[in-house]
Amino acid sequence: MIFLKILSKFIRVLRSAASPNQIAWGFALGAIAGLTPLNALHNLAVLILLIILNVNIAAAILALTIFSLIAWLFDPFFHTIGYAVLVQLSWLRPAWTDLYNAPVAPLTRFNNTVVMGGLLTSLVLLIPNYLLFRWFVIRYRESWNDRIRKWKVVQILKSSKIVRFYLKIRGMEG
Amino acid sequence: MRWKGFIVLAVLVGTFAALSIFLMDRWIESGLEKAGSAITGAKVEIDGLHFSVFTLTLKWDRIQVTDPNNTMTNLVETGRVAFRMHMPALLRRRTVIREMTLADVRSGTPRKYDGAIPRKPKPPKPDEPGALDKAREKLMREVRNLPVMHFDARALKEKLNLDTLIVMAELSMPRKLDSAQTDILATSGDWENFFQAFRPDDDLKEIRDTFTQIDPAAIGSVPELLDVLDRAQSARKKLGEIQDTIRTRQKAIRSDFVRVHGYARSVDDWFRDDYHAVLAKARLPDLGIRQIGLLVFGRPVAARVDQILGYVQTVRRHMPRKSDKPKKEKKPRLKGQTIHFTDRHGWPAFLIEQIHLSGQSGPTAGDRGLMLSGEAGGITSQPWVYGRPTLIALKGEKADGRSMRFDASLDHVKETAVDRFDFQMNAISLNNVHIGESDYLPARIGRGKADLSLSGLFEGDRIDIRLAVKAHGLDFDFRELESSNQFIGILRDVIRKIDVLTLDARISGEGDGLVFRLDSNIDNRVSRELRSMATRALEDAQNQVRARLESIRDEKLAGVNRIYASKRAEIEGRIDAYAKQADEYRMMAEAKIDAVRKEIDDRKKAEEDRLKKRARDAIDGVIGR
Repeated sequence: MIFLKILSKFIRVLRSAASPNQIAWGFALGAIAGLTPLNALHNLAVLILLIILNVNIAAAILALTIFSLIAWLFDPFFHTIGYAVLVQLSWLRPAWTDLYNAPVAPLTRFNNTVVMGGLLTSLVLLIPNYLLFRWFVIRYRESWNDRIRKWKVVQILKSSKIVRFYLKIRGMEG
Repeated sequence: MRWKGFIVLAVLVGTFAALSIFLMDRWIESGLEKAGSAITGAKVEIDGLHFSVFTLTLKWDRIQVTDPNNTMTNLVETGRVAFRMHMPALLRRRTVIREMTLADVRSGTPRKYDGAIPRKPKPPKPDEPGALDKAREKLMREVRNLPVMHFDARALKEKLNLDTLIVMAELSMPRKLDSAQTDILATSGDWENFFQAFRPDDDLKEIRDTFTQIDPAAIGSVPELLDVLDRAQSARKKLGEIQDTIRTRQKAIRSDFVRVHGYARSVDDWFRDDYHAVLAKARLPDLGIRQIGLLVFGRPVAARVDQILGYVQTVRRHMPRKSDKPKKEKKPRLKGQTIHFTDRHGWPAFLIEQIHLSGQSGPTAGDRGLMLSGEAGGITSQPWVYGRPTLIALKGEKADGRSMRFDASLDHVKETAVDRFDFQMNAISLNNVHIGESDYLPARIGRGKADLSLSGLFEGDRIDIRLAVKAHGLDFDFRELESSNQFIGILRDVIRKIDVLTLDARISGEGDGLVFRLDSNIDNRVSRELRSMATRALEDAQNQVRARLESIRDEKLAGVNRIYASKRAEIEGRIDAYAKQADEYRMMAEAKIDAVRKEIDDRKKAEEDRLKKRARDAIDGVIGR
């Protein structure tokens, strides 16, 4: 059921009236929250941005779900990146030390290897995520949507009892 | 911009603030309980926690820390506690508490509910056990390997079944004597093979005949005499060669037999080794004075020391030593590793600068025990940042003269951690005190009083723990230990007779090299009693072992000596016979050669004289005389 809900949300996002830019930025911001531990302070900033900026929140939630799974799989990689940046790059040590001694900054847990590794990765992927998802939304709307609707499997699914039952329940929920 | 978003944000902030006000206390309480449980391995419960955001004050009415070894009692329970957090440090994610007061501290209080927590799977142990792990293992191994003192005549007889013991001990002496015999036979065999090839009989007979036939008077002319002399000298030369061979072989034979006889020097050592091996299999205890105290009190003392070492390990796990570069650690997924940098304010991640303690040693109001007071300071997770050791000073006393003092210094500021503690107790009641497992003492002391001194120094991996106990008026209820073991009976009688029981224990060393010593003033007395009452049985057993081994040795040795003597006599006899024969013929040869030479000389002289006379006669004829 949850998988169907996520898939349905995904498709609704793609077909919604929101502009590709809004969807793509929502997705990119959601990816930041997904790739780092949720209780890190920078995710508060991400949340604030999601609320006050005109970006698609559903896309952000979708990205959060997808990238949380990716973060779990790539955790050792983030740990290695974070350790390298925090310990092995000795020329950064003075900057980290300043940050460590500044107020509030340690509350961001920047000195945790997974937080640092995940954040760096998500920042590096921010623009590519935006561009890729924007391209994907545009392509989907322009050409893939109609083609997918005509797929046999989609026809079968649509006419299946489970999907009709689900749509009925959804209809009842309003 | 989504202007409505600001309203949503405001609502969210407001909701969060409201929740914080209502739930903050619960969150903090839950967080502290979880952290405390993770450290102690048993439930930690806090009652009545309240946190004031404006003053950063935290207080609670009660905290119960379950004893992980007895989860129905508390290791520590406190009354009201209050302290303030240091705001500048908190903004930098450091928990710094300048001063804390712990009132009404008690130990051993009963719990309403079981404080055990479902055990989380322990993290995999490192490949290489640490020095303290090795030390603990060595200590337990020493205690496990202590011999068993059991003087039950019937059981002792079964234990001392000589035939079984001798089979178990795998005696080496018979084997070595068999090897010596084999060596003798092999050596003799080699020499017998030599005598197969070395047969000078014919040559000696020929030489003898040569000389026997020589009769200088019967030889006609001087040239014939010279020829005989030549032959005689050749025969003598040949005899000389034979004699050289005989002498060389004589030396070699003697040397070989001296070598194989070397076993005779080693038999006593082999005997001694086998004797001890048999005794070891029987686990017949050494009745040396040192052993008694260790046998009786070793296990309970080792259990307490093991507990202390466990506490030290826990302290060192949570108060790591300084290291220049943090090593990359393997952490559970999504947890990551926290890297600490140089703190310019001297604030470690966690610090309690000073704790004022007050309480009692007893569990209840009716059983208060000693009234305790003390200070602890510098409790921190990063001692090298704080720059000072953790110090604990606790004292307790009671009107009836009982007192205790505990001082500890945990210095993890430098790379080598140095932990010290000193614990003194005077006139402490031992009534119904549980001393732990011992094969020879009841689990509880009936009554008594004691002065105790326990000190420990842990410098890096080196350990030095000293314990001194002086107990008066001890009474154990030995009825718990009804057994036929006479040793327990002796122990009971000795303890009843003495006024004071003293124990001195020292555990020192590093890792596998740990040494455990324990002396007691009952060592001499018990040892004497053992010797007079029970040693006869042991000495009898030891004598039986000795007698059996002697009979095995004598039987084997007789056989070996017999073979040695006969083979040596045989081989040396043969070579000596040849030597004697050669010497006789040598003498004969010399005599004959001398006789021939004399005959030659005599004939030459006679011929000379005859020629001189003819010459004189000729001259006389010429001059007409």
